[in-house]
Order: sequence, then C-alpha cells, then structure tokens
Amino acid sequence: MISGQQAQQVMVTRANEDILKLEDVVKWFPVRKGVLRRTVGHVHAVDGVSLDIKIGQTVALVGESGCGKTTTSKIVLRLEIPTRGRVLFEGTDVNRMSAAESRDYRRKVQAVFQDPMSSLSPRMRVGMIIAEPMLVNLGLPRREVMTRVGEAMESVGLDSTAASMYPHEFSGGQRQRIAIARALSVDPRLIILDEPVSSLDISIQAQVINILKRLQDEHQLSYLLIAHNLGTVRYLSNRIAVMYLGQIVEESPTEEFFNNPLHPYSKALISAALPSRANDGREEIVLSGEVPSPQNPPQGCRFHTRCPSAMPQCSSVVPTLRERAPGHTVSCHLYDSF
Amino acid sequence: MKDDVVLKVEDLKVSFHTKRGTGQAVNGVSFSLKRGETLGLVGESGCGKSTTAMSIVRLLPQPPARIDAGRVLFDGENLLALDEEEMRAYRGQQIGVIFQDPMSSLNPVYNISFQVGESLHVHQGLHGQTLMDQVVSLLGRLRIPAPENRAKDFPHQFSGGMRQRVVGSIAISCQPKLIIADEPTTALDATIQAQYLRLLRELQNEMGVAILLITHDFSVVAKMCHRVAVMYAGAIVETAQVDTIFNEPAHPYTKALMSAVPDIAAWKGHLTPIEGSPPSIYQQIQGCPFAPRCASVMDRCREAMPPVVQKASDHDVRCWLHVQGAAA
Repeated sequence: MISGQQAQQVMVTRANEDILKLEDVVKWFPVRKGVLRRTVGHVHAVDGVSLDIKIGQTVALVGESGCGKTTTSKIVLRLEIPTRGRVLFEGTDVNRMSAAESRDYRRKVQAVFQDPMSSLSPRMRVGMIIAEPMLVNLGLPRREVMTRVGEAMESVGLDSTAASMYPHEFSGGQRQRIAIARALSVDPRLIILDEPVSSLDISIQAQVINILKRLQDEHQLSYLLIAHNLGTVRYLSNRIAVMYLGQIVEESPTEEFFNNPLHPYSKALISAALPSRANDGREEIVLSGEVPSPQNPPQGCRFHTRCPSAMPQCSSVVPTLRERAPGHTVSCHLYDSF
Repeated sequence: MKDDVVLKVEDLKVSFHTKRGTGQAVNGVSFSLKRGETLGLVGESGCGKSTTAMSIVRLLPQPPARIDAGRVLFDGENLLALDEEEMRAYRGQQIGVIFQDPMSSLNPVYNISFQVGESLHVHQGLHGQTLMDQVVSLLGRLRIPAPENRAKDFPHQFSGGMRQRVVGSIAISCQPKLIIADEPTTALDATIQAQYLRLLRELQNEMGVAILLITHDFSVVAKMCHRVAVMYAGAIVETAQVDTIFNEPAHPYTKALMSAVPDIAAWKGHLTPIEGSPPSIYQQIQGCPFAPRCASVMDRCREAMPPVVQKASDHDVRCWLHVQGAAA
C-alpha cells in the first residue's frame, strides 16, 4: 500500500508534470477476408495521437462514434497494444513494464464505464464490488478493507449500510456512484471516464458530475474523459482534444475552445450541441455527408469531404497540428497563412 | 377543423398491471397540437412521455398496459373509441411514427423499397412501377444519395443516419397530418443529429405536418419545438412556448432541470443538481410528485396534487406556488 506521505511526495515533486503522455500512438486493426483470412486492409482506429495529461487535470477526448476515442482509452488501460507509438505513465512506457510495475500501474489507473448496469456484477454485493480491487491490489486485511469500503461509499454520497445490497436495488445514478467508489477505493492517480454520465437521466447527471469534480480536488486525481456531450465536457475538463477519424484535429484549453473554436469540425460540434433558436442570433452549422470509413480515410485532410470551408489543397495536402494560440493547436489549412 | 387543431389529448390516464402491482404511468395528461406545429414532450425516463405518445397511436401492449380514461381527438375523432380495424386507417396513413432506434424499427430481412412502399401499397393501393417511383422520390426527399440504386439495399447496408432517414420516409409516405417522433435522434451522432433535425424542419415547412417530439435533450427542443410540455411522474407540470420555457420557466422542476443540465451556451461555472431521484410508477404518491425533491416545497404540496394554473396565455403550470392564495 502506498502511504499518504509517499503520495504527497509524488504530488510535490510531480506537480505540473505529465502523469500520462501519449506519443504518436497508432492502432490499426487488420481486416481479414476469404478462406485464408488474408489481411486485405486496416481500420485506422487511432492514427498518430499525441496527448499529455497533467497531475490533477482532466483532458477530454471528444468526437463521434468511430473516431477512435474509446480505442485510445483502451490503449491507455492496456486492453489494446498500440501498433506504434508509446504510452508513458509517470515517465515509464506502460507496454514495457516489469511485473511489479504493471501491478502498480493497474492500481494507479482505474476506469469508470458508461453503463453501470453492465459494468457491475449483478451477483455481487455492492460492498464486495467496491472491496475487490483493494483485496486484489492492496492485500489489506479484511477489516481494514471493510472500513475503507464504508469510507468510499460515503465519499460518493451513498449510505455505507447499503453495502450488503445488490446493484439492481440501486438507481442508475447510484450505480454509477458505486462504480466511482470502486475506482476510488485503491487510491488511483488516473481515472479513465468513458461516457460516465451519458446513460443517466438529466436530473441525475449533475449529481455525478459534481461528485467527480469534488473527488478530483480532494485526491488530486487526473481524468481522461471520453464523452460526446460537450456540456459534460465543459464542466469537467481543463483541456479538450477533438478527434476525427483517428486523429486529433484540435486541442485546446476548455474555455478557449468554447470561446474560439478553430477547426470547422469543432465549430459544427459546438453548433450541434447549442440550443440555437431562430431568435438566438447564432448561425447553425450543419455538416453534409457522413463520417467516411476509417478503413479507407480520405486523402489530404480527412475532414475535407464534409468541410464547409474546404479549399483545393485540402483534398491532397495533409494538414499538421500547429499551435495557433498558447496551448491551442489545430490541424487545418485555413490557418496556414497565420 | 376549426383552429387547425390536429390532435387534442384530454385527461389521458394509462396504467400498467404487472406482478409488481399497478403502476400509474400517465396520470391525467392533456395537451393539443396545431397544424404545422411541433410540440416537445420533455422529461426523464419513466415520466410517461413515451407511454403518452404510444397511447395516441394505440401501440401499447394491452395488457399489461391499460388506458383507464381520457380521449385522444385526432381531427375530432376519438381514436380511443375506434376498433382495431378503424385504427389501421389512421396509423401509418394519417399518423406517422419515428422511433428512436432505426435498427430495430426497420426489418432486417426486407429491403428498403419494400418497407418504404408497404404503407403506400396498403393505404393507397399503389403497386408496380408507380409504387417504385414513389418510393424512390420519397428516399430522395429524405436525402438518400442515389435513391434508385439504394432502394433495393437492406437496412444493414445503410449508416445509422441514413437508416433513420429511411424511417422518416416511411413516416411521411402517406402525407400524414401528424408525426410522432420518439427520441428520433438519440441514437445518432451529434453532426448527423443536426442534419436530421434540419431535414425534419424542412419537411414540416413543406407539408405543414404537426410533430409531437419526445425527447430529453434541451438542445433538440430548442432547435425543433414551438411549444414544450414538461412531464414529471406521469403528469405535465408545465406547458409553454419554447422561449418561455427557456427564459421564464415557472415550475420548480423546469427551473431545476435548466440549472442541472450542463449547457455550453450559458456557462455558469457550476451545476445545481436535483437531489434524489424520480418516483417509481408503482409508488403511491400523496400530493405533488415533485414535492420530495422540490426546493420551494410547502406543506400544501405534500397534501394535494396542485391544479393546472394558467399563468399567461399559452403558459400553464401545475404548481401550488402559482395558485392564488395558496402560498402562505
């Protein structure tokens, strides 16, 4: 078990340092066909993603289904091995860790998934669900574990006497709190939040968002947030990375992103999420066409087939991510001349 | 019809009879919908919004559901009094329906042209090349690219957004007066959702069709609706023009929802959650169902269900706070 003192030391020495760093991560899934299962192509699920998460910060990955945000989170969780590139956690390549380092990594990196009904075992009591990661990772005596279960439940606003109940006896919002309590129980440093509130009712989402924010402050947690709802993202994240067809097209501090989105795709996403009414004064941006197949992404800029501002060079020249404002990078030819 | 009222629902009550007991899913819902108008029926899961909509077209499985009271007047005709045969003349012809998940509302073993043409064949007796031409033109209106080539494809060959557009083309195929859209864009991605909503608005302008839109998403409400009815625990708690709902909500539940939803336009820096959760339909409720979660609760609220108060013209609120002389 990591002592409070040690944890504090880590915090002091590492403050403002990256807890997680993705370096040009690529994940291609082979597409096989025919009797010989020959590889006929690759799905470019993640294609050169670089990302930093600082201690105590939240980075949100935003994009539509199939853009590679979930694959990216799976790579961080070591559920997928990247085809190329490195994932560094506290400076160590997570795919080259020793057995002891791996154990430590699995404790320090936890996940909360979208649907608590399928991520919690229906046959385990809630107390045991929350205790399991501690028993596996920390090897604590049982009594100590049960005390901690009670603490974890209370920290997410659940009554600790409910530990003997089963998941189905809780509401959706309460179940998601159980999932958070479980992730929290082993004192993690980084939590992957994969659509943590999108399965919850609107009146319940705010409860869970507030809990996540409070816990982050209390424990100096870092979050990698995967979400498609920009409202949730605005409340939870410090930085936003927008993904389209496996690539990051814009990355920016959250406030800057909403005040001054640069990429046409980001603008369309924001427009889609806004309540823009006739008297609202804002122009609604509606993209034409659909997301192309990641197996055969368009040449040049991958977004050019749907882009309202596409120029001739967009269909042939690949844009690169460049900084346009402090900490605000965008990959788009519109800003080439700046 | 006078006033152009297409649909008028009066005091609808629907209950479910299951092993768990009797659940009051819809408890006295009334609203009306004019030609060319979109009414948003908004609320959380389990508030009875889908049950209300499905009662209108009588697509609720009975049992376990039972329509206990009320009238559904469509063009002056009470749909609840019709027999099944008479009802078929309305469903699909006068009233089109768009469900949430296009993968489950389209039949995977029939091709698109069969499914789009089915109601045209049944209701208008079209067949052969006339039918096929009509199907292709419908698909084209819903912006299916190369409709004459795609008509013979099967649902799995279409993307999610295209499938939902196919469902839309079925809904409008017989020139209905009313479309019931139950969370039509919830299964779609953000940019595809924006496309679909714009298309629905264009069709509405062309056809003058009335839309009953069921949703939980306020950005969809803002983009689509003229009027909004907010439901909670089987009852409509507030009905008003869309601007009124956003700018001057009167019911504490509507207000609380507005401050609990992370809105990217009006950045407030923090969220005020609604504590607790909505009641189960099997729960016996005394008084106002929102009382246990309400910030402005009074003794009176726990005793009796408040009446509907007309706060302004076209702004109805069901709350004791707005009953003259009740707040003391």
